Amino acid sequence: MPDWSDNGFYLILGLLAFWVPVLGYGWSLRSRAARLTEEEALLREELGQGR
Amino acid sequence: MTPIDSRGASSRLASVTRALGVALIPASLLALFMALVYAPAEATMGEVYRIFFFHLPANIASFILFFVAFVAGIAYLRTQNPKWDTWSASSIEVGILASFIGTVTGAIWARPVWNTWWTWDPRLTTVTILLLTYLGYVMLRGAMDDPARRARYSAIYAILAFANVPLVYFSTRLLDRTIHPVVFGGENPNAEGDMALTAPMNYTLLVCMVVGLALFTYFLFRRVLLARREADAAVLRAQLLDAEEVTHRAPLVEARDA
Repeated sequence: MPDWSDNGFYLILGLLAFWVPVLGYGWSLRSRAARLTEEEALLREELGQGR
Repeated sequence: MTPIDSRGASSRLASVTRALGVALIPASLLALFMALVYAPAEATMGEVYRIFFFHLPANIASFILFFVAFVAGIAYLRTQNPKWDTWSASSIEVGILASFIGTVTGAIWARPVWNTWWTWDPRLTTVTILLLTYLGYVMLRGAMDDPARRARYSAIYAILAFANVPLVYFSTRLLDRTIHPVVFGGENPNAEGDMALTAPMNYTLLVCMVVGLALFTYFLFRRVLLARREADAAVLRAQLLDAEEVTHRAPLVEARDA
């Protein structure tokens, strides 16, 4: 393991600067896909009722 | 794992994306282990140089993604096929993310090594221009409603914006007054924070590079799949509008005929 007393703060900050945006973007793609699934189901239902 | 639409033409891409997503979990843990445990501390910079194992793959990924957008832009102008517009726009969205991560991790590394978060070094200046240029692409797309017009202008913009990438890459190789280190393909005598990589560091860099590129490729594929589903939803919305229009018009036509 790295010696955290040697600029460990900046190392942790660097790790967070990589992983927080990566996980955040992954979560945003996931929630956009989930919202689309809901919208598609609703649209198909409404189209089915209209026919 | 997020369910990915596997209908129609997207099914093969969805399968590859799903497999890549599963493989990325142990691969990321391995890269993290190698970057933090396996690779030894660097002789002059100590532990903080480990940020470089995340900084470099993010920046290289952004260059590749902007190149994909450039090629997709040319393909769109040649064929007018909207799928190239999807690839181009998705590459740029993920490329901006990668470039942003590369810039922020670089600033964090610079604070203990250069004793400043930021300096208007040629590399840092050109990368800022690059990021702002691609943010301009996102704004341009948001400002246009007509899909064909948006795709055409976006393709031209993606092609022209790519001119920034060689500028960023060669800024540390061709300009004398830069202090940014050159890791591959050259040397910079003015570099502050240059490093000599030992064999374990090189193996770690290789693994981090492969995993980093795979991670951003995974995001690109997921973004393309999402864009295809957004297009499907837009078709459904248009069908519903048509159906509603017919329903509302029918009594009026009957009343007129009566």
